[in-house]
Amino acid sequence: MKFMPIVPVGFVHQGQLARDVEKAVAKLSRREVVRVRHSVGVDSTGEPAIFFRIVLTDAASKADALADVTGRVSATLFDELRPHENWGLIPYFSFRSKSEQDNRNEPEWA
Amino acid sequence: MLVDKEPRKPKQASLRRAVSSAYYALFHLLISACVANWKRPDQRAALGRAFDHSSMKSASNRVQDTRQFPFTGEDPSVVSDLRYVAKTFAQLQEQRHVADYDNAKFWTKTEALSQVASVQQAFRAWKRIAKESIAQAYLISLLVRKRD
Repeated sequence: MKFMPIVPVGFVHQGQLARDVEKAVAKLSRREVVRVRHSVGVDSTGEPAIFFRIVLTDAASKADALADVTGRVSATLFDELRPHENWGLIPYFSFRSKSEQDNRNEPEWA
Repeated sequence: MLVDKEPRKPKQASLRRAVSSAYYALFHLLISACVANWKRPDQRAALGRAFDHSSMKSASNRVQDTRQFPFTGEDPSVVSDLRYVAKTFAQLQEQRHVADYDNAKFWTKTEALSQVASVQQAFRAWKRIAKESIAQAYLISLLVRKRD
């Protein structure tokens, strides 16, 4: 049997959260970010969490730029969304390059 | 670096180990910074074993909540560095859990490298703020379990 992580009903208004994420994503640079996907669940310690999957342009994924780019992108999403204060969610960020995602073609990132 | 061990086609084991090692590097940095305040050097290792991963993550998440920790009157650049260290610790602990226990997860090089790079940044941030009082208070919060 497969178990899905469940966040209590009413804890997160998924539609409002999606709109807020969309607004935050609009502030990101198109030269750096191809798309952002998110899901809500629980983390490894059972805390409610929001998981961001961020596809970067290949140029922004270069090793020498990566720390700056990922810092900037996660800070923008964090500051715009305020996940702790506004949503009671712990944010987690994962980054892939466009070419990596094109090779893997995983639906969660598409 | 482990993440560059096989530059063309990185092995999943190398990428997983890179993420796990990066987490433990930050974990040990914070613990050693905290126990260094203990006067007796011969007791520091024993004190270091009192730290608990889960409590450290909870404390790190609390520091990021501006309602619980507004840090009014503090230097914004110090607050920003402290929150970066705390955020990176919580983030890396979660990623370490996935890297060590979720074999279904496929890691790309960018995914692993971005986690390692954030720890490198956290080390630099910590160096800038280590002597600040809010940074020292954060270290204590990592050790002391929050009472309900």
